[in-house]
Amino acid sequence: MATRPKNFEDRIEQNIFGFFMFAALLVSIGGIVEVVPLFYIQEAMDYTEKTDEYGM
Amino acid sequence: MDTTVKPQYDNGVVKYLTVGAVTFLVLGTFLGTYAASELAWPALNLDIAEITFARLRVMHTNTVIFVFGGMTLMATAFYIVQRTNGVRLWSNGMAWLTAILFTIGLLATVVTISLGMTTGKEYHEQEWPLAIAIAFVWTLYTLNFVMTIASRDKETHPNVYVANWFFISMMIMITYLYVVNGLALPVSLFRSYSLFSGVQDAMIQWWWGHNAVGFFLTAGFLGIMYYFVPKQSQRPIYSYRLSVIHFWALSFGYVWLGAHHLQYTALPDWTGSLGAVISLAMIIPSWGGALNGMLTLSGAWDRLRTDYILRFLIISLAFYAMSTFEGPVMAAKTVNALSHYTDWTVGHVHSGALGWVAMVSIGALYHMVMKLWDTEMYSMKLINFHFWLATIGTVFYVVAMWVSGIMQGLMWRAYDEYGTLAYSFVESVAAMHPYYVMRAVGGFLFFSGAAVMLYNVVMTIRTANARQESAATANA
Repeated sequence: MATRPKNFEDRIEQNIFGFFMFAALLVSIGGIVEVVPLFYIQEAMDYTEKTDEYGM
Repeated sequence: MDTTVKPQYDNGVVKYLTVGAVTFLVLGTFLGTYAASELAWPALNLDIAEITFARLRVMHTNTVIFVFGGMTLMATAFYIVQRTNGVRLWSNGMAWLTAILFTIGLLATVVTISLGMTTGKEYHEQEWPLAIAIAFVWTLYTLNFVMTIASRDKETHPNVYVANWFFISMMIMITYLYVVNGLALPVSLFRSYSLFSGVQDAMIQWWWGHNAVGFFLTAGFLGIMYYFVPKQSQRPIYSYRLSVIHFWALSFGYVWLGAHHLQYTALPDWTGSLGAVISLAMIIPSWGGALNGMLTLSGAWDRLRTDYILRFLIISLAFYAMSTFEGPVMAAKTVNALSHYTDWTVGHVHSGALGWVAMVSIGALYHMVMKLWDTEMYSMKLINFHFWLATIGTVFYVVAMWVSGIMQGLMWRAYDEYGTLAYSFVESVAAMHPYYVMRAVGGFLFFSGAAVMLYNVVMTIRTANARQESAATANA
């Protein structure tokens, strides 16, 4: 007796691949916010002779 | 459709993983107890390089987390997914391949660690050939699980049950973490160098490290809780809405916590603070989830007096609530300044690992043994005995580490009237000795409980047929 999904939560609970994609997106956010900036913040980079050559 | 006809399930692979999990619980807690004893009595390493503390500790963590924990997660995932979706596994052959390769890969990890091969990354010690093999096995596990759900009859099972969600978020997140943190440049068969260095490496390592706890040891085991607590108590879960909030808030929030492992380091201040703030916010979904499990017993609390398996499941939720409160407190910078690098951290990890993860697993494993072999346990009294050994052992362990850790932290920061340190490091080591002995005793009690469980499980399986026959004769 499958009923029409009532809302977004209900819809992804019934569509396992949709659920998978949404969960995959959601759990990626925290890591991206905390890790990616570290590669661009000047003071978080070690200074070496190569630093001048390649920028940062 | 005739709903009274039960579909046949693929039970063979679940049986293998269940017995494997119990066996490695015994082995893993033995390694831990021995490592703890080496700290109390260093002569116990017998001057053998392969069993010195530095290697034995890592063999212990890998055996308990990944062999015992992994086998439990695979056994329960394959068990739950079939029963909550009313179908057999998408591929029984693939499930067997997953189980066998996982066992071989992880045992090879433990052996190579004892031989001194390691990436040096905590909880990610296996060198690149083994890491690739394990990532492959994990992909098979995920694929089989998701495809089994996809193959359900949507007329009878429209919505996927909450236990499955937790398993899926664990599978996704562990894949992300394991692959990114494992990126490395191999220089020989058993030597590689991480692609990252400096603070980026540290942050990625603890993004993995904390979420090995948050997803492998929490989300996955919450999936176990959401199936086995209602099953064992024969009540529906207390609140469906609470499980929706618990799941999405936990999945979104947990991934931010890794930064709290790096307070007062080269990590920028904002990242550590962000980790600490979200850690604090995580108390809400964690306690919501713990309450959701416990309140499932509303109106049936008396069953705790007679149902020893239910006791394991419910005390695990008590420890879950306790350690998810303790964790955010330790993530706060002021507390972290005292607690970091001390035994307090070790105590916190074990209140989660012994009290929550192992206890909920033990409850689920007993439940599954009875269902899979279709019999009562060989001895219910021994389950009760196991329960008390495990509970008292955990309390011994955790209390010893609290006292030792806080004492350590206070001794390290104490200074005299001239501003010089009041104690040398070695004085703090000497002061910890009694607590190390107490911790080894706690570990031994927990290990003994696991050994009792293995005996009980083996005897149950060996006598299952005979007892089914006698029960059938009695009923005839």
